[in-house]
Amino acid sequence: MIELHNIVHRFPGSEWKLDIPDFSIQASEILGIIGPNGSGKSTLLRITAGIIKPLEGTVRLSGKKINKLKRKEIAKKIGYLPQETGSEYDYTVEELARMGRYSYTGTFGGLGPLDLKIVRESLKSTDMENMSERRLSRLSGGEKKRAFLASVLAQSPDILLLDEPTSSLDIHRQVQFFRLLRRLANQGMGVAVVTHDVNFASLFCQKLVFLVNGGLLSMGKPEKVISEKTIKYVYGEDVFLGRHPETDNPYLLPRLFKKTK
Amino acid sequence: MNKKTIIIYALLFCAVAVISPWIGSESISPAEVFSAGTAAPTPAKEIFWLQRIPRVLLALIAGGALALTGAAFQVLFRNPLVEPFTLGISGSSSLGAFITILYPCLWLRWGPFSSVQLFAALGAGTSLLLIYTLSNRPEGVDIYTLLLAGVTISIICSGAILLLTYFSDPHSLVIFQHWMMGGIDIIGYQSLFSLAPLLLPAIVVLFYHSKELNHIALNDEMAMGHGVDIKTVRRNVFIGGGLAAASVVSIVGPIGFVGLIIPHAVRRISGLDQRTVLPCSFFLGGASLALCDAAARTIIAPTELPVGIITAVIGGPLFIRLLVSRRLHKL
Repeated sequence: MIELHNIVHRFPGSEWKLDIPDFSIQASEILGIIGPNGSGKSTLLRITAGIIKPLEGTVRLSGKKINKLKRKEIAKKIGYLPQETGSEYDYTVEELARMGRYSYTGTFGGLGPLDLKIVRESLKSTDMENMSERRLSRLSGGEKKRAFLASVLAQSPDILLLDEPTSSLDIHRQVQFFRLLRRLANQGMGVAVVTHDVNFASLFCQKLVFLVNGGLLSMGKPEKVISEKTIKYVYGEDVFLGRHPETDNPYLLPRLFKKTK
Repeated sequence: MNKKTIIIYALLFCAVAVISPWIGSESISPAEVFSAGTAAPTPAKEIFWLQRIPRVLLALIAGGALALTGAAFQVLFRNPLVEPFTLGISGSSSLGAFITILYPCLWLRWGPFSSVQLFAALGAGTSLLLIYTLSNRPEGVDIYTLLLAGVTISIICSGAILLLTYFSDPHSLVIFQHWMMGGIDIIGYQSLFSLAPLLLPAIVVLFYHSKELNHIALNDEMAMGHGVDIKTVRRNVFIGGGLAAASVVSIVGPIGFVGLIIPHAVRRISGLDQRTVLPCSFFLGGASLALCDAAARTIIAPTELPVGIITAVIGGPLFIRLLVSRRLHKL
């Protein structure tokens, strides 16, 4: 659905370089982008969303070059939830969700019955329906994230790109959020989620992309990507590797005492 | 968008438009103005048609445009303190006006534009262009640079004005002081016509982009994700607002406050949807300035006060009252 090819990106005045030969997001799967801080996860996601233009390489959305598309056309296909979400004004959840329909509206931005139905559905699927009249300032961190996700879902995208959506949530909300992503993927959406939580990525994603220092370390199924050796190599940390009782997916436990040789 | 709210504000605007021409130091009755038959203009008719009406129209349009620009800029820069004059328009247009007042040899007239007007607009345009080029980066406009550049230009201009004041004669100083205080005491319709070519397109552009401003209030990435072409919107709103403010200031002088406070008042009373806030700000801004001007005409009649004084003296306390009352209601 979305394909990146030979992406190279640099920021002015810095030696750091993002260099990703091949990367794609498929329908009906959750792709986890993991890696340490500064490994280029967010930059890769921004490039995929067409928010920043890479110095080299191409991003193709359903076969078309993304920089040839208008922002409105991209928004109908790709829903992007940035890491930083906030608002200068204290909109209600409903007002925010309605904004997601922007790319489908005309000059005055009026919404038709179909638009309103989709807004309703996205509020429902994010479990925000009974809070639709609440103002953003009255929401908890998790509710706020879901409110913004509702506005992204209202775009009726085929692909969902999320940047650290669960970083400030407690474990219950985190699990809920990932379950929601799984539901969306089961309905056919392609989901890519940037997270620094290797365990959640391993448990909920079908495929992982491991970035290190702007490069692609490995890509594939969680059990292939996550191993004691890679974690030691990337994070310099000794860990125990366990298997989840239900799915057999790998998970990490930190070692409390230094290994004695 | 809340059509009902917009209509209420529009009705208020129209009511003020109908009532305020009858207010002034010279009392005029409808009978005198509309007395049929006589072809010869009576003093009452002249005052009404050539002074009051153009003046009220200018107040409505100028106040509206300033408030509209303020409303748009506060969202665009995500900063509640922004108004057209934060961007250095006030200082640079004043400098332009002062230079023509000081050096009448620069006197030039072009179509309906007076010399002071041309130079004030030129000053405002130059500073806007300068600020924009300074803060325009490949990834978009840098808002902090923009605001800082605006403030710096204001300071430079006021320095230049002080320098010129030091060397100028008292007579031009009086004229300049009068201009600085803001005034809408025009006669006839010429200045109104001269507003149109810049102001009308600017207003259309601002209204057109009001829906995108809702997204810009979130943040740039979120807005882009929603499908807003943020670079284009930002450029258009900046240029539109700049043109609106520059063209208004060139005629009425730097009337502060309307652009800052009216949008806040509208948001507090009528919600946050910019598609409602922008038109309502226009209507309320126009109505307020027209009322302030009516007050300016009558308070110390037969003399007049500059309207800038009234907007500050009446508008300030009213706004503080609104701030306080809303807070009490909310908590």
